[in-house]
This record gives sequence, structure tokens and C-alpha cells, in this order.
Amino acid sequence: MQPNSELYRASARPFEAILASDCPKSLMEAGLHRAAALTGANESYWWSELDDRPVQVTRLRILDGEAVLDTLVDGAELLCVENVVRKNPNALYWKHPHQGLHWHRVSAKNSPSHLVVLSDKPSLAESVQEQLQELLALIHLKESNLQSLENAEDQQRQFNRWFETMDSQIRVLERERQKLAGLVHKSDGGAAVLGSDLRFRWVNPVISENFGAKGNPASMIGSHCNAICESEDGPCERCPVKQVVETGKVVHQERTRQLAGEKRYFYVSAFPIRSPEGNVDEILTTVQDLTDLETLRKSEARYQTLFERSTDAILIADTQSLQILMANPQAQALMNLSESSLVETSLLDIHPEDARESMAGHYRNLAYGGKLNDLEMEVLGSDGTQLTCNASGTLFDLDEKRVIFVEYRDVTQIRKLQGELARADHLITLGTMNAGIAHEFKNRLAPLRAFAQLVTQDSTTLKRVQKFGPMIIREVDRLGALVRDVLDYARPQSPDPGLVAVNPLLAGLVEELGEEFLTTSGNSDVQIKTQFDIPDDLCVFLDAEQIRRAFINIFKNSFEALEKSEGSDPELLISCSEQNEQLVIAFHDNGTGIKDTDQSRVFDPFFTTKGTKGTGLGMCIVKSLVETNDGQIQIDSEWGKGTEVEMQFPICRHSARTAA
Amino acid sequence: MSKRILVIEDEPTMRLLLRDFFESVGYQVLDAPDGQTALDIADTEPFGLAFVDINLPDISGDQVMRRMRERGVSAELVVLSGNLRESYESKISDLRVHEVLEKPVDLLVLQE
Repeated sequence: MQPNSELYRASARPFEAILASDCPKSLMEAGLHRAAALTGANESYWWSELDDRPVQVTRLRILDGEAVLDTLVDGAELLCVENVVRKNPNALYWKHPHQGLHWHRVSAKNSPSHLVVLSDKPSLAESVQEQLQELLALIHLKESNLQSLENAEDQQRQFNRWFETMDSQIRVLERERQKLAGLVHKSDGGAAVLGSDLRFRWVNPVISENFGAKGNPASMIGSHCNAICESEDGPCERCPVKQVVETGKVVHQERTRQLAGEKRYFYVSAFPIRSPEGNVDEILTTVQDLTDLETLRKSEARYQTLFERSTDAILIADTQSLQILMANPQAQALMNLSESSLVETSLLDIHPEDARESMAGHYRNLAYGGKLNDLEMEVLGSDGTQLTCNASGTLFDLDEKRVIFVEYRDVTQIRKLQGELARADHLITLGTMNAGIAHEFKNRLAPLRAFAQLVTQDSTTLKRVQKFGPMIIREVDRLGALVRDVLDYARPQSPDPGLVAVNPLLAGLVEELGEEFLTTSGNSDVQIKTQFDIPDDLCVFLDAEQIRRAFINIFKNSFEALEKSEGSDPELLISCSEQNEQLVIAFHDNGTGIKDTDQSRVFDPFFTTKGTKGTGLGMCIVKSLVETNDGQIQIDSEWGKGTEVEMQFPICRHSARTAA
Repeated sequence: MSKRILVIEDEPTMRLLLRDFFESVGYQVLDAPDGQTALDIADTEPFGLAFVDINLPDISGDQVMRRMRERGVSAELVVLSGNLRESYESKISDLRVHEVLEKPVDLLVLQE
């Protein structure tokens, strides 16, 4: 609040002149006092004197003999010049004439609304007035300065608050920036920022490694975005960046392209970055190489297809419980398994009860790392019939769990047909053999008949009977042997195989047969040697009795060859070894050997080089026995040096436990 | 000469029996266990009749007869065989074989 100041000056006439004659009684009664110093001839100034009333300045003038009263100031403070002291340039003190000797500092706060300077000394009054004006101006200035200062302080506080807010926002932004930078720099994926002109403004190392100059991301800046999407002439029609510029929306695309001679799959995403005005002026593009994923997806799909569409039944089972985990449609149909019943079904349940024990052995063997290759087994079919399946299995990891994978091929029909074929084949063989058999029989019977006729001749002699008797006995024996061998050959030869440990089997046979032949042949010079280079627990799957019969024939042939031979140190070496997953058993003698022309006929029925001693069926039977047991047999011989008969049988690996 | 008989037979028992039989009925008997021996005999010894076994270890009986005919042997030829097949007939049709007999043979028939 700014106080007003007013200056009143009286005329030079003596104050007392008016007072005496002209003092209106009414003013006195109203409590006004005459300002003594300001009383002139024609006018006087009056002021109120009452403590509880504001100052009233009243002028009394005499105009044309009439007294006129003007209220000049109402409610002001009266200031007499002698009551004003200026103590320093900024402070003005005044003393209320009726309130004792208190000095009041004239300030914005405590200055009166009106200050009236009454004086009869014009120069002094003017000086006081001027000072007062100056002071009031100062005060005003100071107060406005103060106000400005306060305003400025307010503003600064405001600014400070803003700055603090901005600082924290900058810190947040910096953290976001660091996260983003980490993401785009260290990510496996490519990231690039492009301008709306589809040119690179920034690329991360992955982009430059894959699509630009290796190790020099800067060289890509300014180049066209078709560096990523492989098109020679500018942006392609599907250009995701272009779409973002045009639509302002995020675009995702799968792209393929040749890179370093390899087809690669990319997942490209483009995000708009808008200017403050809202235009898309930059595009953030991320590129993810999905090739490995795609390869995996395809290979998974392939395996899935193989699994689903395989013509073989496939079961996947737990290695411990043998519980079936998965069955392909073929398996579900073949073995009458439903998806819902798998949980309670074990691999053993698909087999007939009497086969389960041995199958458990096979499956456990597989679970412990053994093999299951082309194993023929009985399986319960969907309609309760027994099927013959050929199964192969392996181990693999499914969802971080080791599982058994077994493929079953239904060979029921094939085996049935093969059986029929084999029977037909056998019949054909028997048929063609019939001629040979008949010939042999007739050749044996001819002397019998001739002898019978001779001995019934009237003229026959005892000498004749004695001469031919033993020969006839021999012929009859040969007939017996022939009958036996023919029966042996014609006998159904379905083997009754089992797991057989080779070492004990061979050692036993060699001992038994060696002794027998050494004593019966009378050729006790023969040295029988063995050389077994196989582990003690090596097993084969065969019919031991059939193999024994085969070995007897081979032994017999070897001994006869050694007997006939005139060489010294007759020797029969029986060796066995392991070659290419096969058990190889060889009988090597240094006997007469076989003539080159005869070697190819060794296995033919009725082929014999032993004249009357052989039926020609021995080796034929041996071959048949060996082949029935999945074996193979060859003869290698040199005339005059000796013969080697070699047989191979498949080895049943890891089966020693079960066999033992 | 007609009293001489050649027996070509690889089975020793049968050979000896035939020899014994024919000798007992008054023939002179030559014998051979295989084709080559028979041909050697035919080159040097005359005979009026030959019994030929078809299944011989070295040369088949029909070949033996053919070579005999080639060498001018005019003797009667009688085939003794364990296996009678029609194909033989055609093979030996031009060899003027007197008779083909199947084993086991009746000695009395031989005698005739």
C-alpha cells in the first residue's frame, strides 16, 4: 500500500488574526483544532484532535464575508514537518503529535494512508514533501524489487522442481537406453534402424556380419535395406520397411534367401518410430535367423511323419518299467492298443504269455545298451491271433528321458508264404532226388537179386555163397545207410534254437567226437588240435543238436580224408574266432583234399568220391543243417594238401547274461 | 567169339556177380569198372556181347558205346541201368543197342 502525501500551505497572514475573530464555535465543538501555523487572513486549517478518531483536515475560508468549510482529508494521519525525521536515506520516521514521543518508521506496512504535511514554511514543506515522495518512491521500488525477488525465487524453486523431475526422467531414460543398447548389441538377432528412404542409419553387428561388410557395421550406413531381403533392384514388393512407412503399423514377415550357398529362413519385424509431429521417420527392424529352428521343425515333422505313416508298428517305451509311452497308428491297429490304454500296457503285454519271459530278456538287454536286430517274435494281434513280427530296437532320448524304440514288422504272411515255398522247394528237391534215390536203390538191389538168383541155382556152390555173402552184407548195410540218410535229409529241419555258449559246445563236441573217431577209425595217429579265439561267454542262437549232427559228418569226412592220405603227421585243427560280428568255425585237415573238378559238387546230393562207402548225402545234409541255423558253409580244398570246411554263424551279443 | 562177354559195371559186387554168373553158364567174361578200361579192352579183345552200365564214374555208358561203335565194335550191346529215362533211348537210338534192361535185372533174362 502506498501512502498519499498532501501538502497544504497557508497564506502568510498571521494565524492569530483569524482565530480571534473568525473561529466558528461549531468546529471547536466538533473536536477540531486549529492548525496554528496555517492560519491566514482568509482561511484556516483545522484538524481533529481526538485520539480515537482519524485525522480530518478541514479548511475554513472566508469568502465574501461568508465562512466556507471544506473537508480536505478524511481519515489521514497528520504529519507536521517538525515531527518528521529522516534518519537515513531509506528510512523516514515521524511522530504523531498526539501519541507521545513514539517514532514511527514510514514503511509499506505501517505508513498511514494519507500523510498530510501542514506547514507555513513553504520551502521546508516542499523539501519534506520531496523527501517524502522520494522515500515513498524508494519504498515502492524496494517493495517491487522484493516482490520481483520473491517471484524470482518462486520461479527458481519451480525450475528446480522441474530439473529434479527431468533428472529422474533422464535417469529412467538412460536405464531404458542401456537395456535397449544391450538388447540390440548383444542379441543373437539382427537389429537396424532405417530412414523412411529405406536406407540404413544404424545396424548392429549381427546385421553387418550376416548381410554387410564383416566387422564394419559403418559401411552399411546409407545402403539400401534390400541388403537384408536380397533383391538386386531396390525394395521388393513385400518390403516390410516400406509397408511400415506407408501404413505406420508394425509388420512381421517370414523371409527366405540364399546366404553363403545355403537356404536360410528369417523372421523380420519392422516397428515405426515417429517424429514429434507424428510422422514415421525411422523404422526399427529386427531380423531373427530361424534356419536352425526351421531345420529342426522340418526334421521333427519328418520324424513325426515317419512315426505316423510308417508301415511298421512302432512302440516307444520306458527303459525301466517297459511301459508303452507312444504307439504309432500302425501299432495301435496291429496290436489293438488304444491311446487311452497305453498307460497300463507294458511292452511284454503285446506278446503271448509263453513268450513274455524271453522277450523281457531281450527288452532288458536292449535297455542296458544291447542290440535288438531283426529278432523274430510272436505278437498278439488285434483279433487275438498270433502274429510273427520281425523287430529291431534302439535306445534314444525323448524329452530328456532315455526310452526304448522298437519297430515291429508283421511278417506273418511272408513267413507263411516262405514256409509254403520252403515246403514246395523241399518237395521239388525230394522230387529231383527221387531219381537219384531210385538209382541208388536199384544199384544196391541189383546185386541182391543177382545173388539170390545165383544161390538158388541148382548148381550153386557153398564157395559161391561164401564169396558173395560178405559183399551182399555190405550192400545191405549201404542200403540201410542210404535209407537213413534219405530220411535224415527229408526230415523236417525246423530248428529248435536256443542261446548257446560256443566254447563249451565246441569243446564238448570235439572231445566226444574226437574220442569216438580215434577209436573207431583205427587211425590213432591223427592229432586233434583246437584253437578257440573267442571269449568264454560268446553266444550264438542255434539248435545245438542239429549243429552236432553237422559236425559229426564233417568229422567223418575229415577223418576219412586223413586215413586215405599218405602224408605224415595227420592233423585235424578245429578253430573258432570272431570276424565281423560272426562266429567262424573251421575244420582244417591235411588229408587228401578234393579235386578241383569235384569241389563245386561237394554239396550236391548223391555226389560222392568215396565209392561204395558213401551215400553222397552227408555234405548235402551238413549244408542244409548249417543254413537252417542261419549259418553259411564253404569248402576250400587243395588236392593232396588238405581241406578246410568253414562255417559262419551270427553272434548274439550281450546275451551272455540271459544265456547264463 | 560170341562166347566172350564184356561186363562194364562200376559196382564191384554186381560186376563180380555178373562175371560169376556168366562164367557159370559157360561164357568167357571180360570186365571193366569204368568206361576207359572198357574202351581199352575193346581195342584189344574181341567179344560178342557187352553189358553196359550207363552210370560210370568217368565216361557215361552211352558215350562208351558210341566210341565202341566208332572203333568198329560190332558186338551186341545190352544196356543195364539203374535209371531208365526216355532221353537215353534217343541218345542211343543210332547205336544198334540190342536191349535196354533196368536194374535189378533178372539173370535169366540176361542169359537169353
